[in-house]
Formats: sequence, structure tokens, C-alpha cells
Amino acid sequence: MMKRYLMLLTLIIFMSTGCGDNLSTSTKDESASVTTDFLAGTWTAECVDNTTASTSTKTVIVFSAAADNLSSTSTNYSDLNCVTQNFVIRKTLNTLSLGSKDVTSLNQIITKYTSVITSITLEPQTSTSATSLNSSSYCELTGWSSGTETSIAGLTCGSITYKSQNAAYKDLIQINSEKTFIRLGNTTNLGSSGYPKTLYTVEYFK
Amino acid sequence: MIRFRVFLLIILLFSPLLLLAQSESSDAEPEVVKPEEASEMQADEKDRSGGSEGGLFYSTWGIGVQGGYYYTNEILFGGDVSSQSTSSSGGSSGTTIEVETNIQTVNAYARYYLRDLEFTDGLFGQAGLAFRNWNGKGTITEENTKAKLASIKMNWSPMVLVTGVGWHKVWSFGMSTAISFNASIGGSRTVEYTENMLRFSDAIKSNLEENTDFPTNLVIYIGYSF
Repeated sequence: MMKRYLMLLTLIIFMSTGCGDNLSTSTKDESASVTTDFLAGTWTAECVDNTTASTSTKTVIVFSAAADNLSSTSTNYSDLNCVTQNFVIRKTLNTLSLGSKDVTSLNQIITKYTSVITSITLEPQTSTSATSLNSSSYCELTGWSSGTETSIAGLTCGSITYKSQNAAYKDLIQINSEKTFIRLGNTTNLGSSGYPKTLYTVEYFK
Repeated sequence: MIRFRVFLLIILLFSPLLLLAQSESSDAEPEVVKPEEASEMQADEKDRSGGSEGGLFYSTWGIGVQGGYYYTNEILFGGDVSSQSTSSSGGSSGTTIEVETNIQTVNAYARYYLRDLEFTDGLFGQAGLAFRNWNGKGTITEENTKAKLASIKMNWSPMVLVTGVGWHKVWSFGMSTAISFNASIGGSRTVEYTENMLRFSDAIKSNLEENTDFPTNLVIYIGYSF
């Protein structure tokens, strides 16, 4: 009788040690692919306010039909609602080349791209703005004039140092799987590979 | 889990020795039962053949009802139905995480009581089949854009073998309580990850898989024996 109990207990305990469900996993990549056809056209960001500086910024990006050229126009406003223009920074890139999908250090799925800087300019929109830029020797320049574009490529303006003309430019594009918006990399926070480590939170809509 | 398995391995190795040792000592020196102890034991050691059981239980796999029929004093045929649904939502860093699980189980089993050993009256081993309707899903979305970042779907096989051990106490006035520890064997589970804007890291995957694995079931039962 004792042996029967012993066998029963031993069997149950033995079975309990090897229990559980066999696990099988699969991973589906449903992230949207960034293509030149998809990028071609005008992408507009919503107005982003800067409560600390009491200013705001609105950026428009235009990819050429073949998406091998890009022009970015970032307008700075002297209010929080993108009403009164202050100055405009224009950046144009050429020989844009899309890479394959990758991930950031935060596991965000992105597509890398490389390009070459054609120009980076700044244009004060009002005389008040030009005076302000001149008085602070913005970008170490003092010839600012309303309505006149001045190259700032290779210069340090405030806390940002802009790349020189013809310099290689690396950035990231994130797209949502519904393909309704894109985001770009934070080019002020570059990793050792030259690509941004993180993304800006601003979305661009077509 | 590793600690748990080591613990069971120790039990596995030592329980036969312990029982054998007790068996030898009982052979050598028969125990003398005092009359007052004998009368107490009579209450617990009543022959339950043909009797029935019914009650409620709380378990890892949900809350449910349980019933059983004593085929003999040692063998009980039982069954239970349990259900557990959970949904939660939370998030951090601009993301919202929503998780939903549904676990419904119907379990049919045979239980064997070790009545012959005075110190184990109420101790039982059981084995049976569990029919499961278990599934779960989770989604991660961006708070401001509502864009889908990633999602997960889980499904468990509908049938699994369940074995376990437990302790069952029936008082003289009919109240019945039990605690048992069961484990499932032979089932399978599929986890499907979908990545929209976010890639699941290996660490996140193994964490999710560990936290959604329910191989064991602790059951605490209270009922009435009639």
C-alpha cells in the first residue's frame, strides 16, 4: 500500500516539475516603408510654441518629385500662435538617398537617409527682427537686413552649429503605419555614426 | 521558476525517503491510538462513498464553482468551471498601453485520497483534463496622435492535462475546505507580436512571455459535503 502512495506522489511531483505550455512566437513587421513616391510633395508641421521664449515655429518640408531633393522652410514667429513672422530659416538638400529600415536606441522603427547640403540661409522678416539679430551679432554676423537671405552654413547660431555647404547630411524619417504623418531626426543630437540618436516629436502631415 | 523547480526536485528526492522511513518505523513499532484521539479521527475518517461535494473556489486561473462525487472513500470524480477576465490600461512617455485577457476553464478530474496513512488523511493526488478558452491581447498607442505603435496577441491550446496534489478537510458539520496545487502539461501557447512603429526588444518579449505564462494553478476551495 505504502509503495503505491509513494509511486503516486512521486509521479505527480515529477509531472509537476516539467509542466507548462510549449511556447511558439511570431513577429509581424507592419511598419510602413518610406518610399520616394510616398515622400514626394509638401509636408507641413503644426505650429509649435516655445513658452519660454514666447515664440513659435512652423516648418514646411518639400520633397521633389523623385524625392532626391528636399527643402525645409522653418518660420519663426514672435508670438505663440504662429501669426507674426520673425525670421525664416531655409535648408535645401540634394542627392537624397533612402536607406533601409532600422531602429533607434529607443526601438523606434525608422528609415535612415543621406544627402548633401546645398544651402542653409536665414532671412529676417521685419526690420525689428533684423535689428535684434544685428544687436546680438547672431551667427557672429551684423549685416542682417529684412527680406535678405544670408547663408548661415558652417556657422554657429545660438546653441546650434550648422553644417557647411556640400557637407554630408544624415537624418532619420519615422512614419506611422497608417501613413498619415512623418517625423524627422533630432539633428542636434547625433550619434557616433552621424545619424540622430532620437526623433523630434513634431509630426509633418501632407 | 528555477527556485521552484529546485524546491520540487528536493521534495522529489526526499519524499520517498521520508515515507519509507516512516513506513519502516511503523512496521517496527505499531502506534497505539488513545481512545479520545480515535474518536476525533472517526469524524474525519468517515467513509464518504456515494457522497457529494460542492463549493466555490479562488484560483490562479480564476474564480469558479466545483463539484464532486465520491465514487469510493478514496476516489472522487470532480469538475469545475472557472473564469477570469482582466483589462488594464496605463502608459508612460506619451504612450498608452491597453491589455485584455480572458481565461475560461472547464476542468474534469479524478482524485485519489491517501486515507490509509493517519497523518495524510485528506491528502490527495489528482489528474484530469482542462478545456480552455484562453486568449489575450495588448496594444501600445501614441497618446497624442493615436498612432498604433505595436500590439500583441496570445492564444492557448484548448485542451491540456492537469495534475496536482492537495489537502482536503471535511468537518463533522459538513463544511469542506481544500487547497491544491496543480500544473498543466501538454498544452501550447502562441504569442504573435505586431510591430507598427516600435520594435519589441528581446528583453520586452521575454518579460511579456514570462508574465503571461500560467503553468500552475493554486486552488483554494470552500464548500459543503453532503
